[in-house]
Amino acid sequence: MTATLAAARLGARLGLTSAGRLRSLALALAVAIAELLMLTTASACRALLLQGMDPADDRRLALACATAIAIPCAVLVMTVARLSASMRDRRLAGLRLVGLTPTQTRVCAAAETGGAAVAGTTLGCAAFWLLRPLLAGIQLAGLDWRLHFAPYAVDSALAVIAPPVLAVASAVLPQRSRPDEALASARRADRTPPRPWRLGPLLVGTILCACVRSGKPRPLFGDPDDALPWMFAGIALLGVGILLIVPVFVRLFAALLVRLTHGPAVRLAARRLQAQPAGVARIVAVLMLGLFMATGARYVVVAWEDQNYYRYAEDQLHHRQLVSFSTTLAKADAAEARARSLPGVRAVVALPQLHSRSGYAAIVASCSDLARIEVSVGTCHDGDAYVLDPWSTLPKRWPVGHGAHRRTIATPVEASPPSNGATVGTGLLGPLDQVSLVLPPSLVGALPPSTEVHVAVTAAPGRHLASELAAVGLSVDDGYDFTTYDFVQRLKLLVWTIAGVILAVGLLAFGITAVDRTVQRRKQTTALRLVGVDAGTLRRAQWVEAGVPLAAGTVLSVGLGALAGATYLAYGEPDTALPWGATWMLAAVAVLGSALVGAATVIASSPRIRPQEIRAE
Amino acid sequence: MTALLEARGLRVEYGATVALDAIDLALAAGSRTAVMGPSGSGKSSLVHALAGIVPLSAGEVWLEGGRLDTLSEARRSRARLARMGMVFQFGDLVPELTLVENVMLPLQVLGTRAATARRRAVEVLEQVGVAEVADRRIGAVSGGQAQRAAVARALAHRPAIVLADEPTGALDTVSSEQVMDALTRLSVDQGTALVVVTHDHRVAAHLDDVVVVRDGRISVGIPA
Repeated sequence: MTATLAAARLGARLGLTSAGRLRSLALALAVAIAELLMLTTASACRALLLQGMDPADDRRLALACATAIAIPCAVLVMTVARLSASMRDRRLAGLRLVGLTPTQTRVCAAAETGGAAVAGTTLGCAAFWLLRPLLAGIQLAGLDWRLHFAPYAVDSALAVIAPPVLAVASAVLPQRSRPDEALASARRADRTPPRPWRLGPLLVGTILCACVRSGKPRPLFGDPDDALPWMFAGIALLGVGILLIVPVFVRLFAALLVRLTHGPAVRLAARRLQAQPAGVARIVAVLMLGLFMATGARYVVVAWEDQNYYRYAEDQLHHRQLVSFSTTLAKADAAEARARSLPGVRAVVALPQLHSRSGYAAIVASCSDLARIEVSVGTCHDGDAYVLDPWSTLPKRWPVGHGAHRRTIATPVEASPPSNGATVGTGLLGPLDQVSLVLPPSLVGALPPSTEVHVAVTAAPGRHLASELAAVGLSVDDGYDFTTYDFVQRLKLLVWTIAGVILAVGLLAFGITAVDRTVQRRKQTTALRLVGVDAGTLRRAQWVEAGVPLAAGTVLSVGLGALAGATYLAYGEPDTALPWGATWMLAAVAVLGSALVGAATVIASSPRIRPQEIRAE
Repeated sequence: MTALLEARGLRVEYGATVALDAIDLALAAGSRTAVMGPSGSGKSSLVHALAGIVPLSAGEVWLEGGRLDTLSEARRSRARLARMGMVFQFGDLVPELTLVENVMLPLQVLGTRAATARRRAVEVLEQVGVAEVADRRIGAVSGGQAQRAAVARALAHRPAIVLADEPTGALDTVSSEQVMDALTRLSVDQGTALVVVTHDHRVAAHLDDVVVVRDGRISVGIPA
């Protein structure tokens, strides 16, 4: 018992030595970040569950979000807990040689890590409760969660306990059981290279997705029902492939660098990459998988954005509100006057509606009427009738943007009932919905007072025109429900938030590991400087080693996520425009983040001459 | 005759500790000198001062008639790269590079083309007897082979002087002999001056002169 206590005391002291202090500080910060993120996520999930509309969907969404945040947090904590692992393993093996039992050695390792982990937990929890009012004040697309922004007790306990337990487990479990194993010098450069089969899943997944997207070969992928299992298989293989490919990818990348360039800096970087420890590959794999999923999720959200209701809502919120209500010609004037009295109303236009026996609907409107409700019919001539072709408002590659819905195309027709071949469909124009003809007033002449009239009302952008009309007794026919729009907006925000967290936490974990490796390499760096290798060469080597493959990996994962998302959209929504803007932005942010992490490690590598390092072994 | 490397009134301090004081030393081209002395006497500090690595509190270091200690760090690095070779106790080769790539590194930094650098590196590795493991990394060769590769790295660019700090300190007797044999043979072949810090009289026996450092001062300079 006394020996175990002594081992624990020794572990605590090791965590406070000059080199140990930095590691302990890094671990405490990593645990604190993980605590803060997990408690925030748990609180947001609870608010979502208590305020959401569909409990089953919300539960799935909350679980997906919590998992997406928890995985990078776990990787961060476990990575930082294993900083300078080989040096610590050697040290613990030395303690075994002195006579400590395996249990006592583990106690020592646990005490060294546990202290910092507990400090980090305390810091993270305190930060969360201090920041909670600020976080709760953030309103996400109509969701006000001030009342419920606190985690459930069980989630809270899990979020508090998991990071320090993971940290201690990471520090204790990989410990080599035999001292001779741990004391053996690490021959990193001679590790067995990863097998080429790791490329297989990614290649097969890419081919499958490309085939589903192109619909070829037709017997397999042409029919949507047949293509569905292939699509899911392709996307799943892409995800698995990303996890497997990193070591091969890094080696291939390094081999390419060696082949293409002969400069000492790039060669040094490439060789170091080839000898990179597996832990780094795991971090990059998780980072790439996270970006892949976030990019793919962004594409899935596009499927919602491409729906008419979403475009309606976008148009209402950003361009102008347009609704209509029904009345009769006799009551139209009074109703128009009531509508005009509302603040923000721009135009009120009465559009008599006629129905043919064969079921066609026509409105009676002049060119100026159409212009007042902002319906464009090109070169409109009073006296002409027009066939409305609502589908032509949904061209392929429709650019999502404000005001695009006004481009209704109408073509003049002879002043006679249309043939059965006239186009009828659901349009985007509220009062013109289900209308196939626009007839000029001169053609119709005087109408009886009982004629059905649709009164179109336009107002400044917003979401309350329908309720304001209802408040004055005018019940609209085509009021818009913003619930689904808000849900999609929340999804978009969630995707960006999760992508941001994954990117930030992943880059942080990578950065900390890279900095630790450069610190471990200081002696080697000093030796090279003493030989006369200039600081610039060493800095370039460090930057290439840390930044370039990370940037390439993140861009690759964003690209693969885009492929997966595009495949999904090609299956379900073949005409949907792909969110290239968002894709490029995510890739650009990932590249910028990678470059910054590379630069941070260059600073940390500090290729200054330290003669004392040469004698220290 | 102008000395190849000369120290005049050197004084080096680390905080309150005086590591070297009143050191005067002149090394001629092609000379072979052992620096001996007890632990902590200042042997390594002397080599580091001669190489322009540590800042001087007083005194001057002259390399081939030019003042070394007043140059900027970048120019001192360049001077070391071009005119000096360094060998350390633990070799300190880059573990991720193969032996031949380690030897190529200073040559390439000097601007030699990769193919030429490789030819020269292989040639020197043959001279020190480790050509057969030239494409292996440090982890896959013995300590003696790695140290001979370090000797090759120090001499590949034909420097005017090689400074070796305990080059055999981590080796067994046989490996020590092989390393010293390679070091002295190559330096003689190339006309390179050699300064070796050592505790070992058997190592010093390979050299022509001995300088004994004690308490930061040269106590005696005698022929070996």
